[in-house]
Amino acid sequence: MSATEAQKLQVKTMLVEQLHLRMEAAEIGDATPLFGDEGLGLDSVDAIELVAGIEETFGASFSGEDEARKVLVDVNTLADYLAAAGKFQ
Amino acid sequence: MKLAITGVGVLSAGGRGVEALRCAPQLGPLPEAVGAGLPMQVGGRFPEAEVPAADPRRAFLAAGLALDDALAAAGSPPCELILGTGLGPMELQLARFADPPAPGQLTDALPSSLTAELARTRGLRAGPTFCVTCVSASYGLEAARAALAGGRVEAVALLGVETLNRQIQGGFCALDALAKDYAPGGPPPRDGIVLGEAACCVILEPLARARARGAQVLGVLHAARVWVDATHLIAPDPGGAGLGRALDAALADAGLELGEVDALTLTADGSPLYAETYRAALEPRFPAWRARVESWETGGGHALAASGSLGLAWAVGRPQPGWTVNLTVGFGGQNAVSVVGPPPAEDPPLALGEDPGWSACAWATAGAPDLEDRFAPRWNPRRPLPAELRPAVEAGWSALEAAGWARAPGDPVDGGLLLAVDRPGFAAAERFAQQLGSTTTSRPAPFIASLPSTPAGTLGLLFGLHAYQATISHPELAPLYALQHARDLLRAGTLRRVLLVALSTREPAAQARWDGAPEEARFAVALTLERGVGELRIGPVNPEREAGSESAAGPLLADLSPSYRGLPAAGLLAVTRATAPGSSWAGGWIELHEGGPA
Repeated sequence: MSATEAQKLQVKTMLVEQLHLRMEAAEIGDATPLFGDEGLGLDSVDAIELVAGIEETFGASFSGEDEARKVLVDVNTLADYLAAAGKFQ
Repeated sequence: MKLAITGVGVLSAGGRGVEALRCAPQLGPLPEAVGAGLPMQVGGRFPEAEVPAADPRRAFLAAGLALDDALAAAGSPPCELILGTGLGPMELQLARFADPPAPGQLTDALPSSLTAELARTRGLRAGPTFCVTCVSASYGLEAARAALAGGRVEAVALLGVETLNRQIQGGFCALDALAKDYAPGGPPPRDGIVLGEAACCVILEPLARARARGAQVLGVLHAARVWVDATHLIAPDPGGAGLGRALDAALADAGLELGEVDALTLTADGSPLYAETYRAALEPRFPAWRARVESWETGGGHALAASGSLGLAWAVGRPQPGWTVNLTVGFGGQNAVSVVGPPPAEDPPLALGEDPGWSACAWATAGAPDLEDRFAPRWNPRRPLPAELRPAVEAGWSALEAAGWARAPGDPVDGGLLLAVDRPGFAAAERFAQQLGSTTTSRPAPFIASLPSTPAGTLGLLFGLHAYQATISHPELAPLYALQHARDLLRAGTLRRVLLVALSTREPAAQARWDGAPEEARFAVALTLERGVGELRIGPVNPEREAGSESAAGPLLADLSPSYRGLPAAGLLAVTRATAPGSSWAGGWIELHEGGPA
């Protein structure tokens, strides 16, 4: 199930607020990598913050590290996961 | 210079004395006040008979026992007390957060209050207090070596202490750094660390002096080195390059070949991250290293800031004498190595350098809006720098540029960093305590922000200062202690260059509880210090004598607004103005000489 543009914007807003990013939500590309030097440049500590932020904002959690790795790639993968799990209001 | 270890005092979960470190595992369930609701609820606590669990002054009690035992063993030589502690008397801070005292009564819960009270009650000179997470005592060791080499002090009581409380246990849980499957009595964990309490004091003095006074020499410190990866605010460089560099340098200083090493002690190697760093650093140099590894952590847990002094105690307490190499790691890729062995046949005196001077000075009350973008190769520009730290970044980088030490952001700078802070992480620690009190889960970012070492770690990361990154804490005298320590390091040749940054912050919410005034002020002064650019002689720092020295410097700071003039960091600015060419001002704690900037 693919997420809508509005749902992706919700994910981007969560990223900016939970990780205190110095950018507007709309500036984040749908396919911008979350981790690594390209893209948002998040690191392992950010990953812990992000997992907690997803749980707090959307009530979603991951079954393990493997699932988290597959989902926390970019906004597209995260928003699609949340949409499939029915976590958007 | 070789240093004799003439006294040792240890208190750990196993009890009192070095032998107790070798006891069967003392790790067990944590009391509810520490572990309830947290994912990991096992740790090592001081015996109740020695340090009552409910006493908010646990850190004072434990540190005092270790100090007293070490002094007694060494015959109580006149000492300077140098302390390493990650968070200080945290139980007292937590009590203060829960039940705010009258304004002005918060200073007794700061890390340096431990040093001040222990020194005052034992008749010792109070030296600097280092807050550099798990390598705090290792940096204290560097301070001891430099001070003793220069003859500024006759002996040093090096004390490391950390207590285990909800703040620390919760913070490490938030970082996902603790073992998940460890059960008391089980095999050593490999998926994370288990924390434990310890206080450990060693008495250090020049070998010749110890022999001359007939002291028992328990062991000899042949070398100690630090090096910082500075690739991440928390994580180490998994390639182990920094640890390897520190190890190579320490072994070279000691004149020791790898094959001569009898024992290696490692700390925090239950952490998969650190285990990889150790493997990467040791395997290429020392294929048989695993056979020589010894650890007190299997018995009492990882003792955080006390680790650096515990390595020395463990080395002199080994049943078989020989060469022990202690490796200690800490947040931000901090690596520390010490080498303890038998007394040498001869110990030639160290050739000291001349007094250093300062070559550039800058100060700031804020940072430019694009500060993050300047350091993009070393800092993710999408992550904001903390507001409290921005003046220190601005002033520090300006001084590095003015001195010609900085080439381009991202390139390493040849030198070390000393950060002097008067209220280390206090406001952030309170916010983290409140968060922990209201939930059973927590986030890593607030914990990292609450650590007194985080500002120096951030500056060191941004500027690429790998040789040294230390935080010295004192509510009034941190800049003076830092100046004195910088001078010791430069004269002893430990470092070639030092960037000294003094940072004073007054955040409105915390300030209202501190002295009743909701004032906001952030002020940072940065100095580049090196030899050959003038002369800055710094007398012994004496907390009682210096209490009124601020007013003497007043005329030098007349252009500053009153909000900044009285801050400890402003004292450093007064020093630079007083020592500028043509100035003839003379103050209490510094002997000023002609020279100043080149």
